[in-house]
This record gives sequence, structure tokens and C-alpha cells, in this order.
Amino acid sequence: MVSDLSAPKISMSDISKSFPGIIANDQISIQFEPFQIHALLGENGAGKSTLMNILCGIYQPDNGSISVNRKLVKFKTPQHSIALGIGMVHQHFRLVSTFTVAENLHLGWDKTPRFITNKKLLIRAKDLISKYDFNVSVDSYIEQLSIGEQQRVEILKALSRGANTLILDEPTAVLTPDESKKLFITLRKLAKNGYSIIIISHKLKEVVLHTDIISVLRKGKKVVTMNTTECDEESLGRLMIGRTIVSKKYKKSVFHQPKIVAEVRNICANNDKGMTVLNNISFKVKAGEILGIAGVTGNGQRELSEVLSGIRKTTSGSIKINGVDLTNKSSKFYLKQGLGFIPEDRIGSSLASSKPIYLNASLREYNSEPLGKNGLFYPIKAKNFTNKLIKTAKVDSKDINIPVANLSGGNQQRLILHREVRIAKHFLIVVYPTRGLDIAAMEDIRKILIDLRNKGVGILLISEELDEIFSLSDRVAVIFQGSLMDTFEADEAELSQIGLLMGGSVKNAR
Amino acid sequence: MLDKLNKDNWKVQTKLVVSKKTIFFAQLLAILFALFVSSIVIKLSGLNPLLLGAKALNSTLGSFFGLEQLGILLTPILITAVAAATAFRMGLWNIGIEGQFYLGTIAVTLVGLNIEGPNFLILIILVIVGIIGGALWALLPALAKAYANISEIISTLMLNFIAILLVNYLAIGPLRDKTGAGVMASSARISYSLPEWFGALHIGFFFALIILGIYAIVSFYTQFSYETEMIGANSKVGPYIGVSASKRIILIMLISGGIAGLAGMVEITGNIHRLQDGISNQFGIFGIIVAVLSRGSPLGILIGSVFIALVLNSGIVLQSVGLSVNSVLFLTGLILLAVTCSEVLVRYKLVYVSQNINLIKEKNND
Repeated sequence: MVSDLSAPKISMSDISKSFPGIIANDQISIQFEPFQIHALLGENGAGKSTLMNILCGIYQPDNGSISVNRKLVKFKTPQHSIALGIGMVHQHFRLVSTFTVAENLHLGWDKTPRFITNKKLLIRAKDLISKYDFNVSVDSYIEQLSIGEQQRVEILKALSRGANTLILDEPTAVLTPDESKKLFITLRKLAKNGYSIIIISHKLKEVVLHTDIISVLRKGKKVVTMNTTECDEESLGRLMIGRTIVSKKYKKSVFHQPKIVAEVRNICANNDKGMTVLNNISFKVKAGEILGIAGVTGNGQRELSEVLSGIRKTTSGSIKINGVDLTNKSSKFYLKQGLGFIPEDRIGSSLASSKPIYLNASLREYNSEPLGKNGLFYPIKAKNFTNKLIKTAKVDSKDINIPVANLSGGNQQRLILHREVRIAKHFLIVVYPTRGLDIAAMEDIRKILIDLRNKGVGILLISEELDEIFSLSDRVAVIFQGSLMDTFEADEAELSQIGLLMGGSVKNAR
Repeated sequence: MLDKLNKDNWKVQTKLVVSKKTIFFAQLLAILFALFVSSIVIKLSGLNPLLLGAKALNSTLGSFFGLEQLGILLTPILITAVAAATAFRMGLWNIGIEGQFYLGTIAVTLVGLNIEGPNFLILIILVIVGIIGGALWALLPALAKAYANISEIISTLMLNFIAILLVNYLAIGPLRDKTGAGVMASSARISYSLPEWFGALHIGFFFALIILGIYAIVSFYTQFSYETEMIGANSKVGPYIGVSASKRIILIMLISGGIAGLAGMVEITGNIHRLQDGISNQFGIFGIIVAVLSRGSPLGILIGSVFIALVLNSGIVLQSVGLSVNSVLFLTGLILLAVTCSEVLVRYKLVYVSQNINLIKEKNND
């Protein structure tokens, strides 16, 4: 499947890079070798992505040098680094959403024939897909694909450009355990053939299991580089966050209130393409209960969450929130019944990133007192409100008048989470709550969800992290191709059983 | 020292926040720069720039007639600026203010020439008619934008030309005044006019101030404006808060067009009194420039409109002392260009990156 060409030795020395207000990389020296999987471990904002963006020629370092096979190089554009076989799969995908998979693979293809037909593109894309054993349909448009599928296209794109040093930024953040396993098998195969693989990650488990060398970054500096065989999860965790991780067992007070906060009956809904993606789904969520929905990304989770929050219309079935029938009403009515919603693409669909922090923080309460009344909106009260909110949410910002885009991803997430938790008086929908967050932030968020549950709020937790689902949920349901496969009490559910159902194994497998 | 001369050691960075004060001074600097270049041009034409400048200012601000003219120019610019700023608030580029202005005047003329009644009542009707005329001209681009995502920039711009030619056709064709009273080809005089208040300056001036005041209150203190701003910045926020983005696009375009039409009504009933070719005097374009430069700030709109009115009026004075029309247009253009550039440049800063020291020294001027 791969060429026997081995990747060059790459050495970055004394790399520094700063952005307005922060030093992202501070004199980092690091070497990457062929035949190895090298992990860059660190929390959000440790500088991992910046360092790799420098290696890809997307950013230029303020200081320091890069050499490839002992030859000093300067990457002024990504083309320079691609020419030397360095390819990157970004965490936030660089795909043209209105192009098809085949067209995206073709973008930046240096051997493009002068006359190219759609047919040739499709053939090339199909070849690539079968060569690397990736399951994507070549003529779908990127915007129609789930995030998991988009990532597969990204990886394929890097490989198709002849990358032999492959950088993956948080590759498993969007994959199921099974898919992650497959990914690492593929990566190992590549490494055996002489590829140099670099993985940016903050997941200790996968790093310890699947890599050869680990470099830990913290606050822009490199802490250590060592062989994976010398590491264990606990010591790495300590190096990464600078203190010991206390793995918490969540204490859940067992109380079942008879009150039902969300009742869904036989709902069906279409996706943006007009195809049926939700198939006769029914469930109930009680007050003070977390219902976890496990499933591989792209099986209707996004649509389900949108239908339940009034953003997407159903084609049949009924939805009752807090006892009130809200089928096909607008999200305003859902809000009135005390519903909070943290969507899958939260930064893209629940923030206006060019607008100031205080306007974004007010998004859920601009029309209720004290921020607004009788059609009026009080900016000063909104600012006071925001100052309080960012304090509880621990959003790191000195000025609430700057665009929310200037906050780091983690800070934006915390802002949204706390904004939604505030208004979730009865029911909260969270989709992939800890995706892209570091360990400390994950713990924070999980604790907040448990607290909310213990206060009597019903929570629908849609996640791809089985650990998360099992540690938080009272009941677990599995979604596959738009249908709920089965629902279990969390104590009775078995991991293997859930895994089988996620893969679509027969309903009565138990 | 040599290190500082090497261009590799300097970097351009975007600023996170630019204070209003910085923007104001940058714009002031730009105006001074433009005036300096202008004075060179005037000098080359064989005139004394200082004397000329003094004369222009004196005849505008120092005389009853000058102030009256300033007010007459200021009125339509203020209203069209509010019209443009309303659309910009949602991120909509309504370049069709000019066309909507023209349609306002057409609607007012058609109704005004064929209706009879007391002046006060008819004027109220004409206000409504003007607003409807402008709003209708914005309807098509609004629908195209909302439901087919067709760029409003192109559609509104193109409709301007149609509107201009339509006025031209009406003024020299069907509506032409056959009595010969009009100097140019124009319609008959509309017999209803806004009362004059300060010499020839009509009460439309107060209309303009009231509209600006309403705009200020609405844009700062209403949920409607808040929703509009957020949805304009990210249309996905619309369904999230239960407001339809496409309906809001249509509504905002109609309001913007309506205000532009009202500007046309005020201009024709207050100042021109007849439908004639080129009746807008490019007020729509100037309104857009003011709205862009002020970034929608009400105070900025007021200052910007006064400034443009001043420049336009000075231009008229300069023509009267022998400077050619083209030179005057050149000066006006130069000033606006410089101010626009300063607006962009102020968002960047040069940062000195020493190769010897690892920390960044910021050459930040604020």
C-alpha cells in the first residue's frame, strides 16, 4: 500500500513564535525520525498546533531553524514543506465545503493533467480510497459529510500529495474507539514502511498504547522527550498539566423523579440533503437523569439534537419538553421551557465570532430580564452579566469588548457551556461535550453536568467517548443509522454489547 | 541599529482592538494629508492654496448663505447614511441607496402631481409614498439574497442604473413640463413642499436629525437590533435563537431602501421640487461612504455627513473662483480615499522582531 521511500530526519531547533498577547512556542527543540510514531502531548494552548503549523510552513517562526536531513530549510509557504513530504491533517479541516470529495482530493495535486475531466478525478479518488482502505463516497459534497468522514478525506488528501512525514492534529478526537484503533493500525503500517508519523494529542491512553516517542509540551515550552516504553499514563499526565491528575469517580445521588422533562415519540427527520436520517425515534428523559446516546459520528446525532432544540423540523412524530407539546415550534419556545443546547459545531453555530464577547454571552438571555425587557436591550446590563458569567466560566479575557474569535477554542467552549447551563432549567442537550478539550477542562465539564443532574435537570448526552457515556449516564441508548438500537441501565450495560450495537449488529444481540 | 533597518526584522500584525480615539486621530491625519497634497495641486494650478482654503471655509461657515447651503447638502446625506448603515448592521451591502433614492423621488412625483389637498396632509402621504417607493426598489435584491443567496452588492448596484435612466426617461418623456418653466428637462413643479425654516433650508433637516436619533436608539437599545447584528455576523445563529435569517434580511433591506426613498422625498419636496435628471446629486454614494467610515456609529454618521457636506460645498465655492470641476472632483476623491485608507491601516501595526532577543518588543502606538 505504501512506497518504501523513507522519510527524512527533521530537526527543529530553538523555535519561538508569538501572537498578540501570548508566546505560543518558546525555544522549542525537537527531532522527528522515520519509522517512528512521535506523539506531541500537551494541554490546550500548550503550543502543539503552533509548532506543527510552523513545520508545515503555515506560520513562520519568529526565531529558530528547521533542518531536513541536516540541511537547513526555510518554509515560507505550505508548498515548500509539502515538496519535502511534510503533510498535515488539521484539527479544523481545510476542505472546500462546496466541492466534492474527489475535487478536494484533487486540489493542490501537483501532477494535475492539463486537461482533466470529472471522470478522471473520480477514478483517481476511488483508487486512493481503496488503496488506503478509507470508507468515503467520492461524489458527495464535503458539507454533506459528517465530521468523522471529513477527517478521513483530510488524511487521504495529505497521503495523496506524497507526504512521508504525516502530522495529525488530534486525529482521534472525532473517531469512535473502533475507528481510532483502525487509524492506528494504518499509521503503524505507514511507520513500518519508513514514514515519520507525528501525532498531536492530549489523550494519555492512546499515546502510551500506540506511539514510540513522546514529547511533552507545557505552556509553550518543551518539558521532555522520552521513549514510550519508559512512560506510564500517570507520570505523563503529571508532566503535561504540571500536577497529578485525580481521576474522579462521580457520586450520583440515586433519585428518580417521576417528572418527565423530554418525551420524544416516533420522530422522523431529514438531513440537509432531504434524506431521512432519523427513523422512528422514541425516548423519555426524566428530571435528574442523564440519558447517554452512544454511536459513531454521522449516524443522525446532529440531526437528533437539532430536532430536539427546535432548529430542525420533523417529518413525523411529536416532541414534548417539560410536558408541553413543541413539535415543529421554533427554538424560542424550547428556550421558554428551560432548554439549553450545546450543539456539535458549537463555535460555528452558536457564536457570532466577529462580534464582541459580551454580545455572544448574552445570546440566550438578551430578551429576558435583566438584559432586556419589552423589546429593549440594555448593553450595560449585558456587560455586567458577561463579567459575572466569564468569572464563573473561568474564561480568560481581560476585555469583553473584543471579538469572541480572539478567545482560544477552550475559552469559547467554556463560555458556551456556562451560557447554556444557566438557562437549562429543565433539560440540557449536549453533543460531544468534551471534544477538543484538555483533561482539566474535561473534568470541569463533567462535574458541571453531574451537578446539574443532581439539581434535577434532565440531560441528553450525545457522545462518541464511551468512557464518558458510561461514567456520566444513568441510562445508555445506542444510535445507528438514525434508529435507536436499544436502551440499557448504565449499570447493566456492557461495553462489548454497546460496541456491537454501535457497529449496527442486530437489535436482539443480547 | 543596523538590525532595525533590515526589513526581515519587522513584521506586520493585526491589532485585536482599535480604540475609537485612535481611529479618530488616524482619520484626522488622513484629512490633513489629503489637504496637503491638494494644496500642492492648487499651487500647480497657479492659485494660492491657503487663501483659497480660507475663502472656501469662510464662505461656507462664515455666511448665512453658506450655512444654509451646508444644511441643504447635509440633509439628504444624513438620511442616506442612516439608510446604508441600517443595512451594514446586518452585514448587507446595500449599494443601491442611490437607486432607492431615485425611486422615492419618482413615487413622490407621480403622486404629488396627481393629488389635491392641504399641504400638511399631502406631505404625510408623500412621506409614506417615498418610503414605499424606495423599499420596493430594494425588494427584488432582498428576495434574491434571502432565498437564493444572490449577492446584494451586484443586484442593488445594477438597479441603480435602471433607476437613474428611469428618472431620465420620465423627466424628458412622459412627465416633462410643457410650460417651459423648468430650466432643464424636468417634470412640472410639485405644488406641495416642506416649509422653509432657515433661509432656503427646509424642515427636512429636522427629519434627518430625528431619523438619526431613532437609528441611534434602535441600534443601541433594542433586541431587534441585537438579533440583526448577531444573525448578520453568523446566519446560523438565527435558528439557534428562533429568528428566521432570511425574513430578517428582507426586512432590513426594505427598511434600508425605505429610508433611502424617504431621503428622495425630502430632497424633492424640500429642495428641488421637480423630478429631473441626476436629481440625487450622488447623495446615495456619499451616504454609503459615510456609513462605511463611521462603522455605523450615530455620532460618526453626524460628523462624517457634516464633513462631506463641507467638502461638497467648498467644492462649489472653489469652482466659482476658477478651479476646474475636475480639480474639485479630484480633491473630493483624494480626501475620501485617504480617510478610507487610514481606516484600514489603523488596524495593523509594525512589530520589531529582534533576532538576538527572544521576547517580542512591541512597537505599539496605543
